[in-house]
Amino acid sequence: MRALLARLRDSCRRRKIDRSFDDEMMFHLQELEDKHRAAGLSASEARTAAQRDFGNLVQVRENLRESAGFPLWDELVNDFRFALRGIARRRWLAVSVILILTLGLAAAATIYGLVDAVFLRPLPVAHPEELFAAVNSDADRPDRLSRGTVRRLEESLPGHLVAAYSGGSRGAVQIGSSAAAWAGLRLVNGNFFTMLGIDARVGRLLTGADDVTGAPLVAVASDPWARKMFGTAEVAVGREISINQTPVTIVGVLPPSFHDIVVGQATEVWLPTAAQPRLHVYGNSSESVGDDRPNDPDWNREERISWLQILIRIRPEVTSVPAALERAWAVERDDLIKANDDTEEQTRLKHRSWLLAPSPGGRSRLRGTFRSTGWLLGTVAGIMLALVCTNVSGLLLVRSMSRHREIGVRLALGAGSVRVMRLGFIEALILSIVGGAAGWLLATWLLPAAAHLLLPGDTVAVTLGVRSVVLMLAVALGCAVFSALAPALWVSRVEPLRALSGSRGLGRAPIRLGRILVVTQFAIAVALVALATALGAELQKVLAADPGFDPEHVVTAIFDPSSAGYETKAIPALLDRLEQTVTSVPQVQSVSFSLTGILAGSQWSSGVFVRDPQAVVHRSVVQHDAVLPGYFGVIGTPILLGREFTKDDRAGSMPVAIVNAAFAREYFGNRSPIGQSFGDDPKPSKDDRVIVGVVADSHPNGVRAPVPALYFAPVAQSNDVIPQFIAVRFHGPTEAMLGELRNVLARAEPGLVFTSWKTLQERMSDDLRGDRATSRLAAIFGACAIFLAGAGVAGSMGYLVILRQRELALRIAIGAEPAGLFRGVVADSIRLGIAGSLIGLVVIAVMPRIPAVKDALAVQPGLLSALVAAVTALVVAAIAGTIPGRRAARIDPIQILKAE
Amino acid sequence: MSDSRADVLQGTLDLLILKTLEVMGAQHGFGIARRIEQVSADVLALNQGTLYPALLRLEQQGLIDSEWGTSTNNRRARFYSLTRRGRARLTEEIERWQRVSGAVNSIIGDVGPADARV
Repeated sequence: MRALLARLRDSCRRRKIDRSFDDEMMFHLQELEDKHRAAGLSASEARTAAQRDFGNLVQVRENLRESAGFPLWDELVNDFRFALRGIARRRWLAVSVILILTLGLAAAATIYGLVDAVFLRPLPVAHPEELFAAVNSDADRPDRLSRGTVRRLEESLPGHLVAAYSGGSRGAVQIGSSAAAWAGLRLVNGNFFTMLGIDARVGRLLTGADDVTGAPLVAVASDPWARKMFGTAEVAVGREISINQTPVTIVGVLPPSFHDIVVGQATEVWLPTAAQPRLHVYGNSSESVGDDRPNDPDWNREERISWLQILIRIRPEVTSVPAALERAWAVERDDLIKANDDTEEQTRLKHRSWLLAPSPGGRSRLRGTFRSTGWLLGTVAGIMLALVCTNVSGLLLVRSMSRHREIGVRLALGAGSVRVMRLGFIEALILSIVGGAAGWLLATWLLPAAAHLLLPGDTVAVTLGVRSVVLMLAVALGCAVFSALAPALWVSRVEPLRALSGSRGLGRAPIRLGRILVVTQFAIAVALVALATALGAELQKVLAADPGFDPEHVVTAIFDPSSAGYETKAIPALLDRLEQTVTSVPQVQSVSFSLTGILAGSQWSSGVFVRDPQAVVHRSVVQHDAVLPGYFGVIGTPILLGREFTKDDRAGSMPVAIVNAAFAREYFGNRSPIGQSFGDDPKPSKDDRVIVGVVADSHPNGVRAPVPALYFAPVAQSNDVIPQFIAVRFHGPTEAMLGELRNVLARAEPGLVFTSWKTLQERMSDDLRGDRATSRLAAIFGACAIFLAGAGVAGSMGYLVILRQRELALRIAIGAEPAGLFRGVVADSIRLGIAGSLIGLVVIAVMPRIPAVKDALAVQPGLLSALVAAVTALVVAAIAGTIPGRRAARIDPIQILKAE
Repeated sequence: MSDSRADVLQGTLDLLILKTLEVMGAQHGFGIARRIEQVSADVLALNQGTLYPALLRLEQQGLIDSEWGTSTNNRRARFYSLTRRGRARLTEEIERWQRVSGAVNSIIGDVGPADARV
């Protein structure tokens, strides 16, 4: 070891060592000379004798050099230097190779990052490989169990081996006297964190003692939430907050690495299951109601409500887990059977069993939805990498071939063909590693954007870790080896003498292959560009079209008075107060409320019966909304016929309705609907609504969704309807007004949570986010494909030019103009572009005829998009063709023909 | 020079250098070479240049140290000296040599261990 270190040190100061040994050996030779002279030899005889005694000086120097370094390593370092010099000599070629590699590897790394985040990464807990989920044999997926089953399982498996958790839900959280805000809640069993082996960042986490009915209400906060609400995690501990109007003490904060048990979600406040009835948390559950007794509102005591999923830690020493699970489930099963009248359901329950499935990555609803996207992206990444390697290989082959004479000289001088091939591999490796590093950096920048586009609204930790670096290195290495194969094969066949005379010795077969590849790439690129253009144009059209409301200067939000504890009879007064509060802000012009609103993610429908005997349709299910007077003015939907609601349309007065134009067309054709009536009973009743107005069509469900037939009723004439959508028309800048609005509302109604404050414009662009993502993705892939196709043209035409070098030289020698040769090569590139474009156009024409593809496509590229794509491809082909074209024009006939 | 002889020389050269340095104290390469030739009564004729790679190797192993100084002829020369590790190694090498040469001698018919003359 010591000798190795010394050798390493010496190899770094080789020159110094060489010099000092030279000095030393000169001294030795002088002393020998002196000795021989003293013995009576002449000066020249003495020198000769001294040299004889000393031995071969050159050999000694060589031996010293070997001892002072690592010969094989030195050779590699030399090759590396030589390769760097070679790369620097043709830096444009190197730049294009690196660019191609960067693109391909960045795509691969980004896709790996997404797949890793969704599928591969284990939960940040102790020994995730020991975790198993309980899978319902009926549904073949992890399913919910009652609290009773979980308790029995906990009791039969000592040592904290069971973690149970509810579905995520939301609660109104209030800190001190500040305004309430919604927070993501999850209820878990007391041993949840102990079982997972998670330690608190500050304070403590939940324990079994917290999860007992009657215990003081405590909560654990996530790190980001604690910092957002309290500034630091330390300040949060010990604070009392109110959740759904009930005081709860925060006892600890989770480490920042732990987001949630469910991938893609981020629970902010963790509570013991015992807190369920006291905090009124009614999240996802499967409930069976029997005739024999009502269900207990405390879900912890009710076997007929299944609301907890479990993870079990399976250790080799505990063998009885499946049996314990079956025993614990038996009680719940028997009670469920008792509650069910349906014999089929009873049989199913009797035969249901629970299996254990490895679950190191926790649960994720993303996995199902992302699977097809993941496969698609993986395929795209694979194709991209293959194209990248082929193109790089083509470029490197051209490069090797253009250096055939140099390679011939090296071989003739005695360099082994292995060494010459190794040089090619080293060059490819350098380019790949640089490309890989650049690709990785690009991917770290692309990944959050890609996650935002493809997994919108989900909080998935997407980061590129050490594994991605290793993977990137491996892929880069693979690319290098693959790309260097063809050039190496060529080098192995080079015969020095023939190479020196200018022959290259590879047939025309690769040309045909190269041309097919280029044409294919152009076809893919044209299809993708056409798709991207069509998507972009469609998006522009949608955004430019009249949405049926005036999105400028209207800000909207969602609120939920019932979860904030307001009684139904207090709602009219609340709405009055809200209206007064909002209009007190100087920039506000008007305010109104509705039940479901516009692009807010909810809709409400029921069956209606039209009383007019001449109606086109007499009964149907129709969407409706309940609004306050002035609503249409606020959102800017024009009244086409009749009137708006007024304060006189109150409970007890004649029930009225306003319909949209689509409703009028659908039910009454061309006749005026004003004065017509409809109701929800098959027979006419006193509750029938009389149509008093018609408003313009709008898109409340989605900007691209079809216009629904829609009617509006006054809130005052709708039973038990509590508005949840507020719309405010204002003038001036949005931000300042919004801040002011939030402040006054928080002061006036601190318990009421308003979320999703957005202008109508923002709701429209959010609604189109998916379309924009697809369009951008198509544009990105289209640009990459075009770029690769261009690189392919440059490579394959370059190869052709080298092959035809002698012929071209001859043509120049007998008077052909270099400009003509240049034009010839560019024209050939354009021909490839035309062939690719034509195939691409056929693909575009065929695509919508394949049902699966048609479903996946949001839009069908039209003639214009196809033409744009084809022209782009031709321009790229022409530009890419100039590179080999210049090479052809620069051929020096004298030099080429002299070599013959 | 045949391969087998070179091997033997290769193996023993380190031993010879170390022993010389132990007996003479700090010494330059020329001094070491002369001493080996003199003591072996010119039986061990040595390509003196081969000393230097050996010296570099021994120094890398930490068995000897070197320092530039002035020779008796008033020339700049590098003086090598034995380190503690070198001394320990020398003892080991001598034992090994005696074992090996004793064994070889007993096979070829001579009696008694070889006399380490160096």
